[in-house]
Amino acid sequence: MAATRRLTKELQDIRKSGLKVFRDIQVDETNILTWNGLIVPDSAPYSKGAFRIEINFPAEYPFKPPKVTFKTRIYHPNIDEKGQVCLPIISPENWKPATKTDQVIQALAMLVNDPEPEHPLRADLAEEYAKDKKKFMKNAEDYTKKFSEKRPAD
Amino acid sequence: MLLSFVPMEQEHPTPFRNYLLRPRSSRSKVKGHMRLSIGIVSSEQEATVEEASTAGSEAEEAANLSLDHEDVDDAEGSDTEEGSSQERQDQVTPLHRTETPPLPLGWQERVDGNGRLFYVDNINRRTQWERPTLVPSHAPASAQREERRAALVFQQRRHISQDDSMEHAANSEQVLAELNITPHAGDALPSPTEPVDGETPSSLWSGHSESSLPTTPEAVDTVDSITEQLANLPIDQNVIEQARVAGIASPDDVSMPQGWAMQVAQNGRVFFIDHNTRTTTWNDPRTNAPSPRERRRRGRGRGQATPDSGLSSPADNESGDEPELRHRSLTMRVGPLTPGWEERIHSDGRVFYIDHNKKTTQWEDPRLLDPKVAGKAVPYSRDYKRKYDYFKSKLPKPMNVPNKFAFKVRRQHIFEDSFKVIYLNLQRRDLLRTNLWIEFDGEVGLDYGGLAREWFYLLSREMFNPYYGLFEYSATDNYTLQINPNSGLCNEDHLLYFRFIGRIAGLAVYHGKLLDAFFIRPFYKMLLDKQIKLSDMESVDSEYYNSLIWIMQNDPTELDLRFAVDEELYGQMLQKELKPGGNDIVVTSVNKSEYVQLVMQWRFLVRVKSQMISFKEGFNDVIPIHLLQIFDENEVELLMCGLGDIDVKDWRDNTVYKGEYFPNHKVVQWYWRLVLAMNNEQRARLLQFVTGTSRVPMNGFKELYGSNGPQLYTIEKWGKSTEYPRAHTCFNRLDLPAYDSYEDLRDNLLFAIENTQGFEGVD
Repeated sequence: MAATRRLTKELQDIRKSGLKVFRDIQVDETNILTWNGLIVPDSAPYSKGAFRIEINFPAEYPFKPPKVTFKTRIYHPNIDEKGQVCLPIISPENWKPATKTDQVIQALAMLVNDPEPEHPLRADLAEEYAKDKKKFMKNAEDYTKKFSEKRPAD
Repeated sequence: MLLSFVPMEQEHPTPFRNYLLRPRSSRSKVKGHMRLSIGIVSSEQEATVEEASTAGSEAEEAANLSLDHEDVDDAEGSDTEEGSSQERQDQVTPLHRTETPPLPLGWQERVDGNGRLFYVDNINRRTQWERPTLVPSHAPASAQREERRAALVFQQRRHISQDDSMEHAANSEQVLAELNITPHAGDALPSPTEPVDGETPSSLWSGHSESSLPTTPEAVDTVDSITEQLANLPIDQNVIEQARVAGIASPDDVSMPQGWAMQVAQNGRVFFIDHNTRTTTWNDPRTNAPSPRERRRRGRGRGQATPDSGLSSPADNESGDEPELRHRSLTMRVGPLTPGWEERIHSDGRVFYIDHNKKTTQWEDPRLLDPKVAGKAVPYSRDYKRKYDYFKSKLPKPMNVPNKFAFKVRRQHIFEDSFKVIYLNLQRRDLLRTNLWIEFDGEVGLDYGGLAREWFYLLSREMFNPYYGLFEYSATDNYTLQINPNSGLCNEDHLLYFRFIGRIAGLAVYHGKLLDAFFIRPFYKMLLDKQIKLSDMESVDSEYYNSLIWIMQNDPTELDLRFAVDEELYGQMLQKELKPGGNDIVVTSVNKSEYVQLVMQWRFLVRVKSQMISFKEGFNDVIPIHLLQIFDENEVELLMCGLGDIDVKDWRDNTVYKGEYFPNHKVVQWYWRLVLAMNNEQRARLLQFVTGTSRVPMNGFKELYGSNGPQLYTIEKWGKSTEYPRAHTCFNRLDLPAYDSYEDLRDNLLFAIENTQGFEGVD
């Protein structure tokens, strides 16, 4: 199958390359369309923790883009309360079948490290980020401490 | 069951058990315990109730915690929407079993482009985020209201054969502008019904000439449509009354020259119709003097219009019958401005409007607020109507059958009853071509067409309902249908049903009735045996379309695609080769065209081939299907689904602009002016061109869907003024070049919408 063959290969490549920002990858053998893993950001305030995400690939992958959801709560202008994230690289308008999952993960990690308050999913946080960065950092850090997962040891 | 012997719990303390809730990590706020008890309550319907109560200070929260992602503030109830965690579902199942009952009948759970769950009400064709509950107390009323509204919307759609006369009936303002089939006193249905531009060479209107087709005058041939029309002609009656009144005051019709008639405009002024040349004039042919003016009128929406310039005298027309001029004046005519208003041209070329009553100016055309102009349309004729007349003349006549085919159906079982009558027990197919005489069981009614229309409507709502698994929605919107490739799983007799549905479609077209359904464009193309192109994919599934386009524009070798597709069957993914040995053939730049072609074939044809064959056989049982081939796919949609009224104000209010355009940009102004000047059919064609379907969402343009979810109608500045406009049906977007004049814009846009082949989509 197109999706299975491609995802098997992509998963192999990602595991082999040992991505620093994406660890603890778990994929159920019976369903390669769902991946789980930890995003490990390296910028404050998120660098204090790790965040579990789920990547869901449609059966029509790579003709259609995967979807990414955060399973760990995160205080971030571009990620909403339900863990939904708006990532241009996998938006319907921009998706290209040649886009690889590791590019998607890199783009996601960049977004986590460097929020884009101009395109927020949570307007309240974006406003705080823009107007009172200090307060935002404090809140985000508290939140990270409270909810995020432990960072894997290197 | 001997439940009655079980003692009720009220008499005894209910036994229960407490489960201590343990925090999963040190940061968790979980504490307290969950209390589970099982008891019998006295209510007769609920013999046993699984009762879960919680104790402890943070009880509710406790029930939900143990999840990474739960929301403290929003303790309960929103779970259904979260769709985020399987984990959560598992943990909370005992508690939530009672909270997530099965969906009510006709509802469906779907996932949108962002992975969010939403719910589709197949019965009322609407969607909502909240999970519907089983028959809440107020639901029946609102459901009924929805249904009445849907029925109303359907009734407002009409068949092309009724178009002209209905339009005229509805709006005598425009009778004035387009005066040619105005019924006059004593003659409800005048003979020269072909509107003025019926003479216009068809090549003006479209690239392909159909001028060889006979142009039979519009004939209203069935009793029922006459009655329907009469029932719908209140204003007409008025006009007739006025004409009678006016007729007394002036010389009567008898003394008029041969072929002339007199009529009264809505403003009360008398005007004259020359049926010989199909023109109108204010001048009395007998005296050649203008009829007295009832009240002062401004121009007819033509830039620097002088009063009456919209009307040409018969003499003018005989001498200088310039088709181009005619064409121009026809499409420019919007109808008169309200008294006191004036239209002027600003120094930058934009049109603005002066209200002399209030001494104000504005950019907006005041006629947009006039439902008579913005909501209804100026009738005109073009190829489609001629094609329809020709088509009607070719329909097979019923042979050796009684003059009516009477049958009875039960409303509650309309699908199966109709299936029996029209398919299982049908003696002779010729019966389908005689007058339908439908009775609903237990209701007295004479079917002069109204009941037949209701029957088609009610039946459409059943047979196309995705609930039955014969058809399914094509994308995230909930109104374009396609054949469900897995229909065989839902119903092993599915092919019989497709044949039956094909017959119903044929019946509707044969008897000039409409189906209440809209299909993806490839469906209509398949009816016509036309090749499905890559651009057809755009309106159906834009993501897939974009990927195919990417493949066409790039080297797909690195994707490692094979000549095979994945197919889901019983939840299992199966691989299907697109051609023999396809599993081992890699898609490369060399063979990618073949690949894309095969993918399209598979998606639209191969998967639903047997269903489509049956549908076409059924259609062919009533009408030889090759007769349809004079139409294009957009016309087939109008033929089967009819025309709805399009509210231009609502359309304009819910349009967004991109590029350098803004609402009062000169070109945008011209655009809306042209839309105003269009008749309903042209508006429908424009809407089809841009959105892929002529259907307006039930709640208006604000709910327009693209293939990725809600998507307002969009006009974007694009291209050079030498190019035709183009459309992106998946984004409901019109790419409109900044033309230099209104005429340029009009000519290019009309050309594009009437010659959609090769213009639609972007290749």
